[in-house]
Amino acid sequence: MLRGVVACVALLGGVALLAYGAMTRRTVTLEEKQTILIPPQPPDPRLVDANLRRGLPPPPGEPARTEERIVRTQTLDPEWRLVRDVTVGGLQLGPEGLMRIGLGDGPALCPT
Amino acid sequence: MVAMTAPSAEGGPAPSPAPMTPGPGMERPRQSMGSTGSKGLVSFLARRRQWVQVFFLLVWLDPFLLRLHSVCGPVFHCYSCPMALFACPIGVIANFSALHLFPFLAIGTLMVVGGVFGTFVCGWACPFGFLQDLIAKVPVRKFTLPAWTGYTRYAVLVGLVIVVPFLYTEMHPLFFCRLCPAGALEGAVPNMVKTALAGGAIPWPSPAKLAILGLVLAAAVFKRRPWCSLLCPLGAIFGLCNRVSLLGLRYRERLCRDCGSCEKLCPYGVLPSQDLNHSRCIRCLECTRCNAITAETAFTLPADGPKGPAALRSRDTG
Repeated sequence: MLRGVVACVALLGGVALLAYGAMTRRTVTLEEKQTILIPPQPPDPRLVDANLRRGLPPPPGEPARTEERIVRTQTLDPEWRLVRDVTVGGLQLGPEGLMRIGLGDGPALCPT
Repeated sequence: MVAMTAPSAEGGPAPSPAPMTPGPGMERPRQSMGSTGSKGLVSFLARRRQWVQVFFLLVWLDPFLLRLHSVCGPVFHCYSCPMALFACPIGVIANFSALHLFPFLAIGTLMVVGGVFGTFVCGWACPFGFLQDLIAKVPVRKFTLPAWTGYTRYAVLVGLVIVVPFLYTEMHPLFFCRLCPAGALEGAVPNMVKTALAGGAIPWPSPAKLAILGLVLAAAVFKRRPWCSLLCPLGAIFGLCNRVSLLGLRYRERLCRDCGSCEKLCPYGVLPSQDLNHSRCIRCLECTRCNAITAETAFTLPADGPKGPAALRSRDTG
Protein backbone atom coordinates (compact mmCIF):
# COMPACT_ATOMS: atom_id res chain seq x y z
CA MET A 1 0.00 0.00 0.00
CA LEU A 2 2.87 2.36 0.83
CA ARG A 3 4.27 1.71 -2.61
CA GLY A 4 0.95 2.72 -4.15
CA VAL A 5 0.92 5.95 -2.16
CA VAL A 6 4.48 6.81 -3.23
CA ALA A 7 3.56 6.00 -6.84
CA CYS A 8 0.57 8.34 -6.64
CA VAL A 9 2.71 11.11 -5.13
CA ALA A 10 5.23 10.68 -7.97
CA LEU A 11 2.42 10.71 -10.46
CA LEU A 12 0.82 13.84 -9.07
CA GLY A 13 4.23 15.51 -8.82
CA GLY A 14 4.86 14.70 -12.48
CA VAL A 15 1.49 16.05 -13.52
CA ALA A 16 2.15 19.24 -11.54
CA LEU A 17 5.53 19.71 -13.22
CA LEU A 18 3.98 19.11 -16.63
CA ALA A 19 1.19 21.58 -15.95
CA TYR A 20 3.59 24.24 -14.68
CA GLY A 21 6.01 23.72 -17.57
CA ALA A 22 3.31 23.69 -20.22
CA MET A 23 1.06 26.48 -19.01
CA THR A 24 2.76 28.81 -16.59
CA ARG A 25 6.48 28.91 -17.10
CA ARG A 26 7.87 31.58 -19.39
CA THR A 27 11.55 32.17 -20.10
CA VAL A 28 13.14 35.29 -21.52
CA THR A 29 15.14 34.66 -24.66
CA LEU A 30 17.12 37.11 -26.72
CA GLU A 31 17.29 37.08 -30.46
CA GLU A 32 19.98 39.18 -32.05
CA LYS A 33 19.53 38.83 -35.77
CA GLN A 34 16.33 39.39 -37.60
CA THR A 35 15.42 39.52 -41.21
CA ILE A 36 13.14 42.48 -41.69
CA LEU A 37 10.71 42.93 -44.52
CA ILE A 38 10.66 46.58 -45.50
CA PRO A 39 7.36 47.37 -47.23
CA PRO A 40 7.27 49.34 -50.50
CA GLN A 41 7.81 53.04 -49.86
CA PRO A 42 5.74 55.67 -51.67
CA PRO A 43 7.68 58.39 -53.52
CA ASP A 44 8.43 61.67 -51.80
CA PRO A 45 5.27 63.85 -52.20
CA ARG A 46 7.35 66.99 -52.93
CA LEU A 47 9.06 65.24 -55.85
CA VAL A 48 5.69 63.99 -57.05
CA ASP A 49 4.32 67.60 -56.95
CA ALA A 50 7.39 68.95 -58.73
CA ASN A 51 7.14 66.35 -61.46
CA LEU A 52 3.46 66.95 -61.90
CA ARG A 53 4.05 70.71 -62.29
CA ARG A 54 6.62 70.00 -64.99
CA GLY A 55 4.25 67.56 -66.69
CA LEU A 56 6.46 64.57 -65.91
CA PRO A 57 5.30 61.21 -64.50
CA PRO A 58 5.62 60.80 -60.73
CA PRO A 59 8.90 59.25 -59.58
CA PRO A 60 8.77 55.57 -58.59
CA GLY A 61 8.70 54.63 -54.92
CA GLU A 62 11.05 52.18 -53.29
CA PRO A 63 10.16 48.53 -53.86
CA ALA A 64 9.72 46.11 -50.97
CA ARG A 65 12.93 44.46 -49.81
CA THR A 66 14.29 42.31 -47.01
CA GLU A 67 17.16 43.38 -44.87
CA GLU A 68 19.14 41.50 -42.27
CA ARG A 69 19.60 43.85 -39.40
CA ILE A 70 21.02 43.39 -35.94
CA VAL A 71 17.97 43.75 -33.80
CA ARG A 72 17.84 42.67 -30.19
CA THR A 73 14.46 41.22 -29.47
CA GLN A 74 13.38 39.94 -26.11
CA THR A 75 10.67 37.32 -26.05
CA LEU A 76 8.93 35.40 -23.32
CA ASP A 77 8.86 31.81 -24.49
CA PRO A 78 6.84 28.94 -23.08
CA GLU A 79 8.85 25.86 -22.21
CA TRP A 80 7.48 23.75 -25.03
CA ARG A 81 9.01 26.20 -27.47
CA LEU A 82 12.38 25.92 -25.76
CA VAL A 83 12.11 22.12 -25.95
CA ARG A 84 11.49 22.36 -29.68
CA ASP A 85 14.39 24.75 -30.15
CA VAL A 86 16.94 22.67 -28.27
CA THR A 87 16.14 19.72 -30.52
CA VAL A 88 17.80 21.60 -33.36
CA GLY A 89 20.52 23.23 -31.30
CA GLY A 90 18.67 26.51 -31.62
CA LEU A 91 19.45 27.91 -28.18
CA GLN A 92 22.69 28.92 -26.51
CA LEU A 93 23.55 30.37 -23.17
CA GLY A 94 24.99 33.80 -23.88
CA PRO A 95 26.49 36.32 -21.47
CA GLU A 96 23.13 38.06 -21.17
CA GLY A 97 20.99 34.95 -20.94
CA LEU A 98 19.40 32.62 -23.42
CA MET A 99 20.22 33.42 -27.01
CA ARG A 100 18.13 32.12 -29.88
CA ILE A 101 20.26 31.27 -32.88
CA GLY A 102 17.47 30.52 -35.31
CA LEU A 103 18.47 27.37 -37.13
CA GLY A 104 14.97 26.72 -38.32
CA ASP A 105 12.34 24.18 -37.51
CA GLY A 106 13.33 20.67 -36.53
CA PRO A 107 14.41 18.18 -37.38
CA ALA A 108 16.66 20.29 -39.57
CA LEU A 109 20.03 19.03 -38.47
CA CYS A 110 21.84 17.09 -35.82
CA PRO A 111 23.19 19.57 -33.26
CA THR A 112 26.14 17.34 -32.46
CA MET B 1 -6.73 -4.08 -8.33
CA VAL B 2 -6.39 -6.95 -10.74
CA ALA B 3 -3.59 -9.41 -10.23
CA MET B 4 -2.28 -10.76 -13.50
CA THR B 5 -0.77 -14.18 -13.05
CA ALA B 6 0.64 -16.73 -15.39
CA PRO B 7 -0.61 -20.08 -14.22
CA SER B 8 0.82 -23.20 -15.67
CA ALA B 9 -1.08 -25.34 -18.10
CA GLU B 10 -1.99 -27.80 -15.42
CA GLY B 11 -3.43 -25.14 -13.17
CA GLY B 12 -0.91 -25.94 -10.47
CA PRO B 13 2.52 -24.60 -9.72
CA ALA B 14 5.18 -24.75 -12.38
CA PRO B 15 7.33 -27.87 -12.28
CA SER B 16 10.87 -27.62 -11.06
CA PRO B 17 13.37 -27.29 -13.87
CA ALA B 18 16.21 -29.74 -14.20
CA PRO B 19 19.30 -28.74 -12.24
CA MET B 20 21.87 -26.80 -14.20
CA THR B 21 25.44 -25.84 -13.53
CA PRO B 22 26.33 -22.73 -15.53
CA GLY B 23 29.95 -21.70 -15.57
CA PRO B 24 31.23 -18.68 -13.65
CA GLY B 25 30.06 -15.42 -15.20
CA MET B 26 27.92 -17.24 -17.74
CA GLU B 27 24.24 -16.65 -18.07
CA ARG B 28 22.05 -19.58 -17.17
CA PRO B 29 20.18 -21.11 -20.10
CA ARG B 30 16.50 -20.18 -20.25
CA GLN B 31 14.02 -22.79 -19.19
CA SER B 32 10.58 -23.70 -20.32
CA MET B 33 8.29 -23.62 -17.33
CA GLY B 34 5.47 -25.67 -18.72
CA SER B 35 3.26 -22.63 -19.31
CA THR B 36 2.59 -23.24 -22.97
CA GLY B 37 -1.12 -23.46 -22.40
CA SER B 38 -1.21 -20.43 -20.13
CA LYS B 39 -4.19 -18.18 -20.63
CA GLY B 40 -3.13 -15.35 -18.36
CA LEU B 41 -2.90 -11.88 -19.78
CA VAL B 42 0.68 -11.55 -18.64
CA SER B 43 1.69 -14.76 -20.29
CA PHE B 44 -0.11 -13.72 -23.44
CA LEU B 45 1.71 -10.40 -23.51
CA ALA B 46 5.09 -11.81 -22.54
CA ARG B 47 5.07 -14.15 -25.51
CA ARG B 48 4.29 -11.23 -27.81
CA ARG B 49 6.70 -8.70 -26.39
CA GLN B 50 8.53 -8.27 -29.68
CA TRP B 51 5.32 -7.43 -31.47
CA VAL B 52 4.58 -4.80 -28.85
CA GLN B 53 8.09 -3.46 -29.41
CA VAL B 54 7.48 -3.34 -33.17
CA PHE B 55 4.24 -1.46 -32.57
CA PHE B 56 5.96 1.15 -30.39
CA LEU B 57 8.82 1.46 -32.88
CA LEU B 58 6.29 2.37 -35.54
CA VAL B 59 4.75 4.93 -33.20
CA TRP B 60 8.10 6.60 -32.42
CA LEU B 61 8.97 6.68 -36.13
CA ASP B 62 6.23 9.23 -36.64
CA PRO B 63 4.19 7.55 -39.39
CA PHE B 64 1.82 10.51 -39.64
CA LEU B 65 4.65 13.09 -39.81
CA LEU B 66 3.37 14.97 -36.78
CA ARG B 67 6.85 16.08 -35.60
CA LEU B 68 5.80 16.80 -32.02
CA HIS B 69 9.23 18.03 -31.00
CA SER B 70 7.79 20.34 -28.38
CA VAL B 71 6.80 17.25 -26.39
CA CYS B 72 9.22 14.94 -24.60
CA GLY B 73 8.77 11.28 -25.38
CA PRO B 74 9.35 8.62 -22.72
CA VAL B 75 11.95 6.62 -24.65
CA PHE B 76 15.51 6.86 -25.85
CA HIS B 77 14.94 8.03 -29.40
CA CYS B 78 17.06 10.90 -30.69
CA TYR B 79 15.13 13.94 -31.82
CA SER B 80 17.65 14.45 -34.59
CA CYS B 81 16.35 11.31 -36.23
CA PRO B 82 14.59 12.43 -39.42
CA MET B 83 11.65 10.28 -38.31
CA ALA B 84 11.43 11.16 -34.63
CA LEU B 85 7.98 11.88 -33.25
CA PHE B 86 8.97 13.33 -29.87
CA ALA B 87 11.96 15.02 -28.29
CA CYS B 88 14.34 12.72 -26.40
CA PRO B 89 13.96 13.41 -22.65
CA ILE B 90 17.64 12.84 -21.94
CA GLY B 91 18.68 15.18 -24.75
CA VAL B 92 16.30 17.81 -23.40
CA ILE B 93 17.59 17.42 -19.82
CA ALA B 94 21.21 17.68 -21.02
CA ASN B 95 20.51 20.73 -23.17
CA PHE B 96 18.46 22.43 -20.47
CA SER B 97 21.29 21.79 -18.04
CA ALA B 98 23.63 23.54 -20.48
CA LEU B 99 21.16 26.45 -20.58
CA HIS B 100 20.91 26.49 -16.77
CA LEU B 101 17.17 25.81 -16.89
CA PHE B 102 15.15 23.25 -15.01
CA PRO B 103 13.40 20.94 -17.52
CA PHE B 104 9.90 20.81 -16.02
CA LEU B 105 8.34 19.12 -19.03
CA ALA B 106 11.01 16.43 -19.38
CA ILE B 107 11.13 15.60 -15.66
CA GLY B 108 7.35 15.73 -15.41
CA THR B 109 7.00 13.32 -18.33
CA LEU B 110 9.49 10.90 -16.81
CA MET B 111 7.83 11.08 -13.39
CA VAL B 112 4.39 10.35 -14.83
CA VAL B 113 5.53 7.53 -17.12
CA GLY B 114 8.00 6.11 -14.59
CA GLY B 115 5.48 6.40 -11.78
CA VAL B 116 3.01 4.26 -13.69
CA PHE B 117 5.18 1.85 -15.65
CA GLY B 118 8.75 1.89 -14.29
CA THR B 119 11.04 -0.06 -16.58
CA PHE B 120 8.15 -1.56 -18.52
CA VAL B 121 9.01 1.31 -20.89
CA CYS B 122 12.54 -0.06 -21.35
CA GLY B 123 11.44 -3.60 -21.96
CA TRP B 124 8.44 -2.96 -24.12
CA ALA B 125 8.68 0.44 -25.81
CA CYS B 126 12.29 1.63 -26.15
CA PRO B 127 13.53 1.39 -29.76
CA PHE B 128 17.19 1.22 -28.77
CA GLY B 129 16.45 -1.59 -26.35
CA PHE B 130 14.53 -3.38 -29.09
CA LEU B 131 17.55 -3.15 -31.38
CA GLN B 132 19.73 -4.73 -28.69
CA ASP B 133 17.12 -7.45 -28.17
CA LEU B 134 17.26 -8.25 -31.87
CA ILE B 135 21.06 -8.41 -31.86
CA ALA B 136 20.93 -10.68 -28.80
CA LYS B 137 19.19 -13.26 -30.97
CA VAL B 138 22.60 -14.14 -32.42
CA PRO B 139 23.12 -17.62 -30.98
CA VAL B 140 26.16 -16.92 -28.86
CA ARG B 141 26.44 -17.63 -25.16
CA LYS B 142 25.59 -14.52 -23.19
CA PHE B 143 27.56 -13.20 -20.25
CA THR B 144 26.21 -11.51 -17.17
CA LEU B 145 27.98 -8.83 -15.18
CA PRO B 146 27.87 -8.17 -11.44
CA ALA B 147 24.86 -6.19 -10.26
CA TRP B 148 26.97 -3.26 -9.07
CA THR B 149 27.94 -2.44 -12.67
CA GLY B 150 24.40 -1.07 -13.08
CA TYR B 151 25.36 1.91 -10.93
CA THR B 152 27.52 3.28 -13.77
CA ARG B 153 24.24 4.45 -15.30
CA TYR B 154 23.80 6.89 -12.46
CA ALA B 155 27.33 8.19 -13.01
CA VAL B 156 26.44 8.79 -16.68
CA LEU B 157 23.19 10.49 -15.69
CA VAL B 158 24.75 12.80 -13.14
CA GLY B 159 28.09 13.34 -14.87
CA LEU B 160 27.46 13.52 -18.59
CA VAL B 161 23.80 14.56 -18.67
CA ILE B 162 23.73 17.11 -15.84
CA VAL B 163 27.13 18.22 -14.51
CA VAL B 164 29.26 18.45 -17.68
CA PRO B 165 26.64 20.45 -19.64
CA PHE B 166 25.95 22.69 -16.66
CA LEU B 167 29.62 23.54 -16.15
CA TYR B 168 30.97 23.46 -19.70
CA THR B 169 27.90 23.94 -21.97
CA GLU B 170 26.97 21.71 -24.87
CA MET B 171 30.26 22.37 -26.66
CA HIS B 172 32.23 20.10 -24.33
CA PRO B 173 33.32 16.80 -25.95
CA LEU B 174 31.85 14.88 -23.00
CA PHE B 175 28.43 16.45 -23.44
CA PHE B 176 26.11 13.44 -23.45
CA CYS B 177 24.59 13.97 -26.91
CA ARG B 178 28.08 14.08 -28.42
CA LEU B 179 28.65 10.50 -27.24
CA CYS B 180 25.15 9.04 -27.46
CA PRO B 181 25.02 5.87 -29.58
CA ALA B 182 21.29 6.27 -30.21
CA GLY B 183 22.00 9.75 -31.54
CA ALA B 184 24.68 8.31 -33.81
CA LEU B 185 22.41 5.60 -35.16
CA GLU B 186 19.18 7.53 -35.42
CA GLY B 187 20.37 11.10 -35.98
CA ALA B 188 23.93 11.48 -37.20
CA VAL B 189 24.13 8.58 -39.68
CA PRO B 190 20.74 9.21 -41.36
CA ASN B 191 21.51 12.93 -41.63
CA MET B 192 24.91 12.13 -43.12
CA VAL B 193 23.36 9.80 -45.70
CA LYS B 194 20.59 12.29 -46.45
CA THR B 195 23.07 15.11 -47.03
CA ALA B 196 25.32 12.90 -49.14
CA LEU B 197 22.39 11.81 -51.31
CA ALA B 198 21.41 15.44 -51.75
CA GLY B 199 24.93 16.15 -53.04
CA GLY B 200 25.98 18.35 -50.13
CA ALA B 201 29.20 18.27 -48.12
CA ILE B 202 29.07 15.17 -45.91
CA PRO B 203 28.77 16.07 -42.21
CA TRP B 204 30.85 13.27 -40.66
CA PRO B 205 29.60 12.28 -37.24
CA SER B 206 31.93 12.39 -34.29
CA PRO B 207 34.30 9.36 -34.33
CA ALA B 208 33.75 8.90 -30.58
CA LYS B 209 30.02 8.63 -31.12
CA LEU B 210 30.43 6.07 -33.90
CA ALA B 211 32.96 4.08 -31.88
CA ILE B 212 30.60 3.90 -28.89
CA LEU B 213 27.77 2.82 -31.18
CA GLY B 214 29.94 0.09 -32.67
CA LEU B 215 31.03 -1.12 -29.24
CA VAL B 216 27.46 -1.22 -27.91
CA LEU B 217 26.15 -3.12 -30.91
CA ALA B 218 29.06 -5.58 -30.78
CA ALA B 219 28.64 -6.07 -27.04
CA ALA B 220 24.92 -6.77 -27.54
CA VAL B 221 25.92 -10.03 -29.23
CA PHE B 222 27.58 -11.28 -26.05
CA LYS B 223 25.54 -9.57 -23.35
CA ARG B 224 21.85 -8.80 -23.26
CA ARG B 225 21.17 -5.07 -23.48
CA PRO B 226 24.66 -3.81 -22.59
CA TRP B 227 23.68 -0.18 -23.09
CA CYS B 228 20.57 -0.45 -20.92
CA SER B 229 22.25 -2.27 -18.06
CA LEU B 230 25.53 -0.35 -17.98
CA LEU B 231 25.20 3.14 -19.38
CA CYS B 232 21.65 4.26 -20.16
CA PRO B 233 20.70 7.35 -18.13
CA LEU B 234 17.02 6.94 -18.98
CA GLY B 235 17.16 3.37 -17.73
CA ALA B 236 18.69 4.72 -14.53
CA ILE B 237 15.71 7.04 -14.00
CA PHE B 238 13.11 4.39 -14.77
CA GLY B 239 15.08 1.90 -12.68
CA LEU B 240 14.68 4.22 -9.70
CA CYS B 241 10.93 4.34 -10.41
CA ASN B 242 10.77 0.54 -10.50
CA ARG B 243 10.40 0.19 -6.76
CA VAL B 244 7.46 2.57 -6.54
CA SER B 245 5.69 2.32 -9.90
CA LEU B 246 1.96 1.62 -9.97
CA LEU B 247 2.46 -1.40 -12.19
CA GLY B 248 5.06 -3.85 -10.99
CA LEU B 249 5.98 -7.39 -10.16
CA ARG B 250 5.15 -9.15 -6.93
CA TYR B 251 6.75 -12.19 -5.40
CA ARG B 252 4.24 -14.44 -3.65
CA GLU B 253 6.20 -16.22 -1.02
CA ARG B 254 3.39 -18.60 -0.19
CA LEU B 255 3.53 -20.03 -3.71
CA CYS B 256 7.31 -20.36 -3.79
CA ARG B 257 8.90 -23.73 -3.28
CA ASP B 258 12.47 -22.53 -3.61
CA CYS B 259 13.10 -24.30 -6.89
CA GLY B 260 15.08 -21.32 -8.24
CA SER B 261 13.23 -21.42 -11.53
CA CYS B 262 12.45 -17.68 -11.52
CA GLU B 263 16.16 -16.92 -11.36
CA LYS B 264 16.85 -19.23 -14.24
CA LEU B 265 14.07 -17.65 -16.26
CA CYS B 266 15.42 -14.10 -15.90
CA PRO B 267 17.58 -13.30 -18.95
CA TYR B 268 19.11 -10.29 -17.18
CA GLY B 269 20.51 -11.99 -14.10
CA VAL B 270 18.08 -10.45 -11.61
CA LEU B 271 17.19 -12.63 -8.63
CA PRO B 272 13.40 -12.25 -8.50
CA SER B 273 13.00 -14.04 -5.18
CA GLN B 274 15.41 -11.60 -3.52
CA ASP B 275 14.94 -8.28 -5.26
CA LEU B 276 12.07 -8.45 -7.69
CA ASN B 277 11.78 -4.79 -8.65
CA HIS B 278 15.52 -4.31 -9.02
CA SER B 279 16.57 -1.30 -11.08
CA ARG B 280 18.21 -3.63 -13.63
CA CYS B 281 14.96 -5.47 -14.31
CA ILE B 282 13.39 -4.40 -17.61
CA ARG B 283 10.13 -6.20 -16.83
CA CYS B 284 10.19 -8.53 -19.77
CA LEU B 285 7.82 -10.71 -17.68
CA GLU B 286 9.78 -13.88 -18.41
CA CYS B 287 9.87 -14.58 -14.67
CA THR B 288 6.08 -14.53 -14.45
CA ARG B 289 6.15 -17.97 -16.05
CA CYS B 290 6.92 -19.03 -12.49
CA ASN B 291 3.72 -19.12 -10.46
CA ALA B 292 5.25 -17.34 -7.48
CA ILE B 293 5.71 -14.12 -9.47
CA THR B 294 2.87 -11.96 -10.66
CA ALA B 295 2.50 -8.63 -12.40
CA GLU B 296 0.00 -6.40 -10.69
CA THR B 297 -0.76 -2.89 -9.51
CA ALA B 298 0.70 -1.44 -6.35
CA PHE B 299 -2.74 -1.45 -4.74
CA THR B 300 -3.41 -5.15 -5.25
CA LEU B 301 -3.72 -6.77 -1.85
CA PRO B 302 -2.01 -10.10 -1.38
CA ALA B 303 -4.53 -12.90 -1.51
CA ASP B 304 -5.10 -14.70 1.79
CA GLY B 305 -4.38 -18.34 2.03
CA PRO B 306 -2.00 -20.91 3.38
CA LYS B 307 1.69 -20.30 2.96
CA GLY B 308 4.48 -22.47 1.67
CA PRO B 309 4.03 -26.17 0.92
CA ALA B 310 0.45 -26.16 2.20
CA ALA B 311 -0.53 -23.74 -0.53
CA LEU B 312 1.23 -25.82 -3.11
CA ARG B 313 -0.44 -28.99 -1.93
CA SER B 314 -3.85 -27.40 -2.07
CA ARG B 315 -3.19 -26.22 -5.61
CA ASP B 316 -1.76 -29.54 -6.71
CA THR B 317 -4.75 -31.47 -5.46
CA GLY B 318 -7.21 -28.95 -6.79
